[in-house]
Amino acid sequence: MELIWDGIVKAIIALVTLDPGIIEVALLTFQVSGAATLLSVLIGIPLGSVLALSQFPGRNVLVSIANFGMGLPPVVVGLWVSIFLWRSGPLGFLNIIYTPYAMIIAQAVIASPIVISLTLAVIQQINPQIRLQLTALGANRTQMAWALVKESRLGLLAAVMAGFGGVISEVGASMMVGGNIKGMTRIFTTATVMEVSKGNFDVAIAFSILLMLLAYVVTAILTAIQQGRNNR
Amino acid sequence: MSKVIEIIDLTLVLQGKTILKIPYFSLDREESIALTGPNGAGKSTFLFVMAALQKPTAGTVSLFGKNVKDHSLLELRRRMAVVFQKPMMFDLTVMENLELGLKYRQINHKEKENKIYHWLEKMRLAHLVKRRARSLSGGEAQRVALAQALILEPEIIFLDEPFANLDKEMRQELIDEIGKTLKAGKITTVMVTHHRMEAAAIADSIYNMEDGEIINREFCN
Repeated sequence: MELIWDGIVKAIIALVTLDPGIIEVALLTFQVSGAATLLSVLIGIPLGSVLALSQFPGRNVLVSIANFGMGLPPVVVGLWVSIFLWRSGPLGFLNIIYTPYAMIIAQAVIASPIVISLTLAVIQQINPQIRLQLTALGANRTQMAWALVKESRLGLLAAVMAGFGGVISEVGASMMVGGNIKGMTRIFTTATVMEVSKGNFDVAIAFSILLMLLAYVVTAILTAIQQGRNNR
Repeated sequence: MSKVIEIIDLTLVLQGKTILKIPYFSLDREESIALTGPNGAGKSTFLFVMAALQKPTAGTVSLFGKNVKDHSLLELRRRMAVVFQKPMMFDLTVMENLELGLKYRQINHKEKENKIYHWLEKMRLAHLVKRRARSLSGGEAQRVALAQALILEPEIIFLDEPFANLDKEMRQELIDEIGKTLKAGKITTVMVTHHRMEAAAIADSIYNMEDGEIINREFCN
């Protein structure tokens, strides 16, 4: 119990004193997971919409791959992204292994299937009458897709939150491609694992509290946007 | 007069059941017709086929002299408008709902605004302009749906039981108003209705349907 209390106190002190080391980790955590979520939204919403609105050979295979991807183990993603980004790997020329860019890519690989699958589900469950109405109004394919995305914005914001939740909580991929380098690639999850391995449980608890706080603040903002639109 | 709709040897089979069987049907420009008949006669489905919203199993459907199989459906659809029996409002304001079809036709802002306010007035909807369309009553939503179609100034309008959700007083008022608007705008009209009084007010002739077939045609005075 004392351990938990020490962790809570450490978290409060870090927040109140704006501990530069902690702020740096918090900022990087937010930047990496925020950028990865944004990337996954840019990939996931168009791809999910196309899968929802089209019929073509192999579509079901792609849908099942996207659904399977929702459960991709982060450590597996970390391993594969590392292999691609190592100096000797196919994308080694980019020279971004052990940088935040590599972490963003790995996290985007984790979040994209989540956003694709949830977008697909949200758009598919729109009342078919809406599509008929758009067709009758003379919407072309792009106009129809955009109108349907707007129509399902509540569900899509839930997909964004799920994607963000998936990446801000992962540790395996970020550890493997980022390396947990202090001042460069250390984020809350990797820092927590490191402190646990060192036996600094109070510090690890403090990190975990701050991580949850950060995740909650971002999710609360997205929820406010979602529910605000719903109540208009 | 030129034919705007021509249908030859149309058959529509859905789940093994013949829904429509129309050997020949045509509609001249500016002509107004009503389709009547019992439930399940195929009236609405026939309207959907004419509006290029339902592909037939066999036969030829030509709109504005063009076979829909060989022509851009988008281009043809943008010359027409459809009012559905159950108005489907988008999760937008009344104004934004009315704007949609105009936006798709790339009508400029000023013209768009003029048209919207004209139709809001005409349909007695001006006080609802900023309301979320999903919060409208059935009758209000139906009037928005009518305005949404008429604002496009279509060459052909398809009306599927357009007055079904209106109360008696509003129904009579709108039937007269819409009837005059369609005549004045020289808009070719196809309307599905159960009410002969509505049919007679809007249409030049009434096609009676049963079991997916046209059984007779009556001319209105």
